[in-house]
Amino acid sequence: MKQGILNFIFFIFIGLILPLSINAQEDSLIIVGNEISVPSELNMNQLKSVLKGEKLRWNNGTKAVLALMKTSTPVGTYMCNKIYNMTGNELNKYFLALVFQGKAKAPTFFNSVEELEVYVAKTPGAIGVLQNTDDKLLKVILVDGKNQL
Amino acid sequence: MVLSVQSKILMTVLSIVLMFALFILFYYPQGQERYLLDNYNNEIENLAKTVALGVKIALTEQNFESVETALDFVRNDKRLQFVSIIQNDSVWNKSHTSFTIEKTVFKTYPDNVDVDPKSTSNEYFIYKSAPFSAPILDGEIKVGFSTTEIIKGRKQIRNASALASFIVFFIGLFIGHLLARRISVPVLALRDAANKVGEGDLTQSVVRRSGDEIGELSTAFNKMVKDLGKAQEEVEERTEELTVEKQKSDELLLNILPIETAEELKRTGQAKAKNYDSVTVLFTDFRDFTSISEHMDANQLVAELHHCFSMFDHIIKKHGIEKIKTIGDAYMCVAGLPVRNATHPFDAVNAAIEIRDIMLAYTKEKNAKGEVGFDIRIGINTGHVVAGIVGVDKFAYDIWGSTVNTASRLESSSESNKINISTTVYDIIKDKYDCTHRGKKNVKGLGEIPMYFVDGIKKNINP
Repeated sequence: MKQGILNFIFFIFIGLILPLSINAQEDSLIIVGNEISVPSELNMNQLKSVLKGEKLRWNNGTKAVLALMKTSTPVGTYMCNKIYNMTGNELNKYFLALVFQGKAKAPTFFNSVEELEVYVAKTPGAIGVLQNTDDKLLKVILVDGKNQL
Repeated sequence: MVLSVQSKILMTVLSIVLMFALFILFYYPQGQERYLLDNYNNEIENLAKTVALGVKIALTEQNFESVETALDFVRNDKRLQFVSIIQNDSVWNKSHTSFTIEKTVFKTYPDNVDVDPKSTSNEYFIYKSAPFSAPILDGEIKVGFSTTEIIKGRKQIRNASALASFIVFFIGLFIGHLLARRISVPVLALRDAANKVGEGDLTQSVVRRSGDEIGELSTAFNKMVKDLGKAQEEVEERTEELTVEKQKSDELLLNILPIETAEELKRTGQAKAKNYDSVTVLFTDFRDFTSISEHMDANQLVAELHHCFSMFDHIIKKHGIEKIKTIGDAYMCVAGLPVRNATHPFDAVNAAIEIRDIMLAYTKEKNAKGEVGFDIRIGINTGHVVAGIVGVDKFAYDIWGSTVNTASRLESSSESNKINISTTVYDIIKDKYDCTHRGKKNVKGLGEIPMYFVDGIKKNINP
């Protein structure tokens, strides 16, 4: 009986702690960019303009390449909500419409952070959205003077 | 209208070529156009399917690479009119028991084109759709392509077909002409040569120009003409031989028959007996021939008779007298048949005088050699006879009648080297010949009849 009570308390704890953990992750989005071609600082409007495919090139003329986590991942879901204010499906339809009409190039979606980091590090003009990174080859872009969104 | 071989061949070849040219001109382009259209439809359908697959991957896998590639490919196609994403929405009824699918255009490239989701292909555009289904979007990719390229391709095919059929027709015409000439020229040469051969010119030959059946025909023709020439030569040789043989046969026949009778016999296979109202029959005989011949062998006897009768033959032939036959040492001939004439008594008497004279000379000649000569007796009578051939085997021309019997009796009643004639003869010739009346003589079977010896032609009369 006592063991049953302990188990119940454990599951209650887990149930309360996990959402808090996720919320803690949602709070820490960072923007990373290729070391060479991407500017080190942007304002929020410039960032949204690039991420929505409205701004296709950086000021130095380099093509802006988007690298995002898939919307099926927690980071991707949070990013949709936070940056695009859309669901994952809405984001897909949004980029499909742009791609279909030839107005923009769709982002490259990744399942893992490591893949995204490697891609951004190797692709000139690439910009990605992550929670955090230890990759020294990437630079964290300041948005409105902050390194986290 | 009779067509020449050349025309027939040319028309046959041209008919085939024309059919082929028409096939190239009409049927072939239709097939090619259908093939072109099918390919075009398939190509457009495949493009739509490719885009649809790309869209599905993009919406389910969040991988836009394939749809971007497919769209790049489609957008770069100059024939493209539009490419649209048609969204299928389920519209439920108020009671939410049934629904209908409503098609709306989600996006179109280029975005200034107004696309009707229900539009179908027409003469100017081909529309193809490919469905896709993703959790967030269900619909189809619709592409529209211009048929301008097909129309252009169709024109090119038709122009090429027209040019090809034109070329084929004229090549066919040229080949047909050559073929017709190649066949007809030797055939016409054969015809001309055959006509000349038919006219008797067996020196004709044709040149063999090919190794085909026409060439073999030429060789066969040349051989035929050569064989005909040989055959003709053989026929000519045989004809010449037959002519010689016929001549001999005719001469032989004429030797035993008068020419008119011989001709009638050859022409009709028979000779009818004819009545002659007035002919002169002449008989000769050698007196005491039987006793003389007993001292001669048969060959010598025959030689003597042959010699004498040959002389008689020449004489009577000269006077137009027909020899009838010889019986032993007797010689019988008749003047005035088969060709009737009015001088037959004179002819016979003149011949008799010559026969008597030549026998007198011959006897004199033999006597001079110490041999025994022949005394000849001659009897002549004029009157009616029947002449003709009797029997079917070894037939001989002969005369019958009392005139013949009387002449024979006159000969037997004659004397050595005398010409004994009847009153009938005498009455005719008496003005030109000197005759001696012998009075009436008893003749076997005829009783007593008057007879005359012909002494000779009167001195003031030309023979």
